[in-house]
Amino acid sequence: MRNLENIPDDLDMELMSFLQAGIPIEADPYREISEKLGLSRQEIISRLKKLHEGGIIRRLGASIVPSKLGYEANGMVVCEISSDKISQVGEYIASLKEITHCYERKTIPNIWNYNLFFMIHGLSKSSVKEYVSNLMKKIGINKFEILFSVKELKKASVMF
Amino acid sequence: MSLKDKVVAIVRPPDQVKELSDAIESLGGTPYVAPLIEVKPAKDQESLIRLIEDTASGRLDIIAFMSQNGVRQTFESAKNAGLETSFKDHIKKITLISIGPKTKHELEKIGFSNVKLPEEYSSFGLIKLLEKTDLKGKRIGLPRAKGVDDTLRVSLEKFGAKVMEAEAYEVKETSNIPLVNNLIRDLISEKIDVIAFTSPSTVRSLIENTRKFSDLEKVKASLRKIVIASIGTTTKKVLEEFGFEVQVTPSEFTVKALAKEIESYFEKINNLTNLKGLDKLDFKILEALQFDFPFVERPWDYIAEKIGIDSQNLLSRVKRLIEFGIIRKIGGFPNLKKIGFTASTLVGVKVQQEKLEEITNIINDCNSVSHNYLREHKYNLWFTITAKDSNEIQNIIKSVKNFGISDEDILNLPAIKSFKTDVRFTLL
Repeated sequence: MRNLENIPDDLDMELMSFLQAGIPIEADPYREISEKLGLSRQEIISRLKKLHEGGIIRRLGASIVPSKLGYEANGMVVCEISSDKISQVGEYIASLKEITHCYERKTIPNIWNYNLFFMIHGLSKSSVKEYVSNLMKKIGINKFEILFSVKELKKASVMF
Repeated sequence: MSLKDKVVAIVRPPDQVKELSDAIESLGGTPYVAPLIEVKPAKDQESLIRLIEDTASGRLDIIAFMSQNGVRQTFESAKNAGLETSFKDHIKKITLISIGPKTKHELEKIGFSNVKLPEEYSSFGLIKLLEKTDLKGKRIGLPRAKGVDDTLRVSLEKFGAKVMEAEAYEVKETSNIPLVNNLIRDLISEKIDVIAFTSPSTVRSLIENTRKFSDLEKVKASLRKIVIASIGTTTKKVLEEFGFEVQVTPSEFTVKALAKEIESYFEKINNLTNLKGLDKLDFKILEALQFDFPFVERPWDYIAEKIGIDSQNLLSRVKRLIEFGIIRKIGGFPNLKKIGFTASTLVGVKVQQEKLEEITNIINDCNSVSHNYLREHKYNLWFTITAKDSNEIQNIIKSVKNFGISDEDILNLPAIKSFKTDVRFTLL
């Protein structure tokens, strides 16, 4: 019996770590895990769907590496926005296809006043600078900085 | 000049071609002019004359023009009705709005200086502009094209405005049949690289004419091979309703921005093609793997069919994209919060060059650190922690501080709200 609260059981967690390791590039990708867990492919799919509906799996699919596609400039943009406007601005920025992450974060008075963070990838630093300064002008933000990445030191999936 | 060797079909009425055609040429492209629509004065002038009379006798508070054609036809009709002077005089006393810069320019040419513009050049932008003021009981005149939908009127009426829509002109499918047939022929033979739609009526005209004179399915299939550009979201929506995939839509709805956006589309394509010999099919695969990976037993078959290739071809292309390092992983993206990883934060540290390697090693050794970047800033090291227990975060911060990093030089910045966590990346 599956529990009623949609809390993932052990088999679900096995499926989650299977997904973390990667879906095999084979015509029948769920064959091995199906044998290993003793679940039919149908049962696997219905469990995955349930995990998706429960918001435990955001999506299936690929993550790609922008720099390998020539999108060399990776900028973390930090800006200072008054608290009454941050939700509206955050939603707007999140809706732009060029932006991959957008968060409101805690500030540290007098040391770090930037409260909105978002990530952008571009073909060059200058194109990112131009895009961001136009965006900031449009929204009416004066205090912002772009922190370009110099080197990726670690990028890993959390394992469980 | 990245539109070199590219033929861009422009389908607006003849008198509106020049600006887009100049912009395409200045970027090195070749304009292909094939007007799919014609603009004519409204046959039935009644509503327009009534609007002109009401304005001329001071019974209007706001007048908003939606296009250059609207301006031209309205003033032409005012002149014909012998009301030009009083019409103009009264417009100067009320709020005058133009949907975009071109229409504004048209108004300025005939002597108006106080023309208001919305932030976004669309009906939506217009509503945003107007809703800032109290519209209750305000009489708003809208000289427009015949047959436009009533969204704008209904929205304004919701704010209590009295809206007077007038038919200023009619947009008709072109009656130039040879021209249409040539366009269809050149689309099918792929002599055209881009087709730029500048209004819903240009889309409808192409569809209707194709139905009449050619094979719609064949033309649709050929349009899949060329780049479809749309000036704005309304036109894009209409294209999508007809089953077309729109590759280019500028964020500002002007002709110049459209030309720029077409250029930048090809810049990106060229860049990607030069890089690794990738082709359009690879981009489609990357797009589908990020946005359309299905929950089915045989996902690869599903994607292959969707893209229109066989599964073996798809699998070997995917493997190649993985080898190139373009695809990092194909799997599931868990919401870590929901499986117990409730503690997370972003940490920024000011690290001196000589300590960088040691500190990086310590940080990267922690399983709970998923990303770590060196960035151009006085706070130069930025990493994220995702853990089951907030003590873990404190421990990592403590171990960094042990290298002589002061409190002020290490920022612990947990998220308060997440607006977007998606790692999907739109290529084009």
